[in-house]
Amino acid sequence: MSFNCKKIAGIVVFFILLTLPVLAAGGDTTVLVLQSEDVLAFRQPVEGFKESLASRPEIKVEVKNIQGSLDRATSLLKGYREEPPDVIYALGAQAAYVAKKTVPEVLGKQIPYVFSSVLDWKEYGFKTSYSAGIKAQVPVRAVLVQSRMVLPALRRLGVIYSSDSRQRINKAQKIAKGMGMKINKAEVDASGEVETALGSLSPDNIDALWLPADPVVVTAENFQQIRDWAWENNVPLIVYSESFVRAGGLISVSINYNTVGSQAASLVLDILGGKPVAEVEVVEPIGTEFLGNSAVARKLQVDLKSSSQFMDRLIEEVEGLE
Amino acid sequence: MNRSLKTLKNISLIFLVLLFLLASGPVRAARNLYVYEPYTIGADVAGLINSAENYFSSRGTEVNFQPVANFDQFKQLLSEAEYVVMPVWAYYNLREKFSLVPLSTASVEGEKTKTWKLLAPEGSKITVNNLHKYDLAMMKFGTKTGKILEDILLSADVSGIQLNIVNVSKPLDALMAVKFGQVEAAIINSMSLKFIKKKQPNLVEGLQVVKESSPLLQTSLFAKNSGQHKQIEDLFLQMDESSSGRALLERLNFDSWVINREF
Repeated sequence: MSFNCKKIAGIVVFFILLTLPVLAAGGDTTVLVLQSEDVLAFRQPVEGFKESLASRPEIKVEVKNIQGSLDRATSLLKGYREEPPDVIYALGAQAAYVAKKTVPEVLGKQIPYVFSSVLDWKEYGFKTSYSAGIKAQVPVRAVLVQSRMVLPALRRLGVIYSSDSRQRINKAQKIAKGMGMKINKAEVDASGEVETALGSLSPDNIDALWLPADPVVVTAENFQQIRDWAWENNVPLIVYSESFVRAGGLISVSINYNTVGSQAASLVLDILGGKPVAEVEVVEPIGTEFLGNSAVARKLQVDLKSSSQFMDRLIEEVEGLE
Repeated sequence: MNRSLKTLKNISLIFLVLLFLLASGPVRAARNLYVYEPYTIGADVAGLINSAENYFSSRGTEVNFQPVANFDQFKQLLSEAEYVVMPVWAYYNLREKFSLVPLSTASVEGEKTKTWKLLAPEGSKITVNNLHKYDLAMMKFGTKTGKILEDILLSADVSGIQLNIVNVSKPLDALMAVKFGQVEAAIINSMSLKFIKKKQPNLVEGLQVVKESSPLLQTSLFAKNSGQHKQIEDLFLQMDESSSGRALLERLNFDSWVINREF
């Protein structure tokens, strides 16, 4: 081959190498999924994550369960000393801690990571210049929009909350205003004050009652009181989990764990595609699990049938109510 | 003589019973009809099954009407089905493996077609050709989502390019994700968009259609094998003529069924 041809060939190869994305062929890219424990809230995101990357044969996904043990995590990570993963997806606070602290100790370098299913990520400092994440609470606007799907006449939403939820409720108020809705709030300082707060919310002044995930407000006893009050006064109750829908809530809007896994895969692909991790934020979860209780709907004369195509599942009975 | 008459009587009775059995035809097991309709059926599956039972029994026909939640599951059950109701993209996906005979197509507001729309915020720079640079939300169809996306919406210009898709469980989630800036684009079908717009028109404001697929046939009824299907075909074509049939159509979010053998 003449010198000019060699030169041209060299330049072509150089430019090809320069423009290749990080994703290499033949399984050279490894994503390590660390599960804090083997529970449904972590298994479902893993399924969604793997499903989203199934069409990417060049990415090898390895799933490890640290079973709540830092010792086990350390031992697992030692197996990656020769070939560290390219990105880590950490489910739960323990796995995120391992990704942040234990990985650099064992592997001698920081590996970028994406976390999900961590409530107090801010307090733990899990957002760094080499990490991104997905928040563990459904956006308030999702609750309001989807409530309106089922209750189109919803204008006045009652809510009982504590200072733990104040920020979220204030945000809800702003969003609700933009939707032509008003939030009638009743703040409590202690669990024992919920009954009084209920008394301050007249069924004539609200179209529905929203029960956010508030650890002060939501105790077993308080939920029963709230549920019974809503049932007796024909007030639709908007809750945040399937168990509360089964117990008498009209609808629940909660995290869709499978979609969270798919969203995490999308963040991982952004990182592998060259996006600087520092620019990838901690984002709100996409999608929801939107459930309804048709027995409650019949009692309240709410039309769930026309909205059911926007929902994930309907539950047919109410537990614990006569 | 009396004994001969008695014998003749018995033989005649047996003959009449045999004749009756022959005339009434063989006892037929319920027909298996599997339904995969991810966009419109929604969450009230029990109500849908009830409604179907009411309709088919009112017409004196036993049909084992089974909605199926996802495409991968549906494919596995196909060998047991005599009839299937499914989107047309599913038909194209399956027709090489199963000899499916088209019978009729659903109609909504007089239309037997729908389209798929690639939506993005107004003023967005997204095109079909640069879509791989952005995050996209769409309802998942199992492990074939990306392939189906290409088949339905995108031209050969983008075949082979890897897209970054967030799989959501329902069209509303895809729309909300693009509306509130969680992804840069979403794919949603025209029927779902219409239903959502009726409930909350503000959810579609501020979005533009980057690309729309050519009209695709609505969900359709197919027989698993060639042969005589008039009874089932009539059940569907006449569904809008009775109150129980209309109730079933309402559950399916269709207005009627029309004959359609052209695919």
